[in-house]
Amino acid sequence: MNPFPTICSILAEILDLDPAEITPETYVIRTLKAESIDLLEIGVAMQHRLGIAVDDDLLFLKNVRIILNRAGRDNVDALSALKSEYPYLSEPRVQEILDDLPAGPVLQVRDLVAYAQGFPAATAGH
Amino acid sequence: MNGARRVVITGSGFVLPLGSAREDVFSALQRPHGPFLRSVADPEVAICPVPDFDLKAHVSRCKNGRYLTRGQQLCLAAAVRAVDDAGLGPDELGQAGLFLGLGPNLQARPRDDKALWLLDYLPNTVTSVMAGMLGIHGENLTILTACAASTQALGQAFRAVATGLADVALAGGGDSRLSPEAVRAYKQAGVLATGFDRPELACRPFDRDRCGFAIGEGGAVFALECLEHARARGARILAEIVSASSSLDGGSLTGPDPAGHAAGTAVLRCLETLGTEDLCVLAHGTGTVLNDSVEGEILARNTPQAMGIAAFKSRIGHLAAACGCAELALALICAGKAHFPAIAGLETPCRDDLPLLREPLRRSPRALLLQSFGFGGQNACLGVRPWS
Repeated sequence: MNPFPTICSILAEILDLDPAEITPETYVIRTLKAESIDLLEIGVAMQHRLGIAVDDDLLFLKNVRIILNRAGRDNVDALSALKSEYPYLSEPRVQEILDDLPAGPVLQVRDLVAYAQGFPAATAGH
Repeated sequence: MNGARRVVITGSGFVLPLGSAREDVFSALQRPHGPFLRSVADPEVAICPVPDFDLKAHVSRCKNGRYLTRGQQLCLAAAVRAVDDAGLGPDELGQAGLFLGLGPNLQARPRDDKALWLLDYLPNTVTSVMAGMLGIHGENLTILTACAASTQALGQAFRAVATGLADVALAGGGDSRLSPEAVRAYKQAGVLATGFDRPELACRPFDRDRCGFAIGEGGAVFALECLEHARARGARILAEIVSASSSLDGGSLTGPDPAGHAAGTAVLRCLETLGTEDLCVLAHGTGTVLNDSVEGEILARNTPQAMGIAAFKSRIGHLAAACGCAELALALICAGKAHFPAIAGLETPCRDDLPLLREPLRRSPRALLLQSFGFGGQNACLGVRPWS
């Protein structure tokens, strides 16, 4: 089942937005202006409504810069480091994230969708 | 407060069962009764709801509205309207004070689908949301003294402006107790009118056959300023607040002290500055047997010569924490029109030595005394002079 409609509805409800404004490519923080308490609510709502276990750090790509700093320190390729941390994201998407990072928070709605599809309850949260 | 600054009201915003615009409210007050209905939760009980309330009709995007009770949303809508009515901008609001009288959330519960359900329980959540939305960062207080709360909030705002803690302050409150939980709580406390033929005849303040109150809801917020500040910016002035008081019965947790000592003291302290000349009393007038009996005695002792005693709960129900601010909003509209409505449903007054309004008062009083006496023996009064 495609979780996008449910995620879209959760975002619209929590951020008080028209669902028509939300596409898979919409930036959750950069464009929709989600704040930390909104992310908390989005995580709990996804867990509740989609029946998945949620790890906020993974779901909201909170540690991207930490992972990249560590990779740089350890001489690990950035792309590989991110792919390893976020296996549910496709390689092209990870590359996009790397390219997009200087412009601000990279999290898009499709990343939430990918998480919901790639992390069923049994495996989520490592 | 010797040497204190004069404090004026330069704007009001309200969302009430009778409307959100002055003309609508005044027009509704000309009808014989308020828009009471039987509660769906309990048809034995009368309620007076705000029809078709939608926070979004009053504010723009408000994602934190999810943490607000209906009463808090009504308060927020009223505040936004008050700021607009007073013509206050970011320069005035930045250091403004914020004083709100609010009630509990009787529907709050731990939830699996909401991370911060804790915020549902906290009455100051709306204070924070309002401060963010309006850019208010000054002195503040969120007051929870039951039915005295918003009157006390207005009093504290008055003191803050009078003593120079703030040049501008918003003050008022909001409440809604129409939920099944609230209806049940009030009914079990034995304070609601029941056994009526028609819901508009349920609440009959100061009538010999009164038997309790009807539940209302709404919000009302006022912009207070020191007179110099209001004049400097050319603000329109609606009224001046001249006195405020509060007291505690220290007796029953629900009913008033039968002797009304502390409540009477609060009234007297307000009257010291306000005086009794051309006075209209905005009585608490819940329509419960005990409140009106005790309040009637206080009125007879202190203000028998008033030009009128109004009881707005007969027209909008009891707004709990927001009753005082809502009744002041109605009174300022009536003062502006020199027309106060009769107490609805008052057929046989419980005593004959009081100037209870049985017919409309077609004069503009020089003084208004707002009385609010709440659960816990919480009493608060406010002395106001309509601006002329």
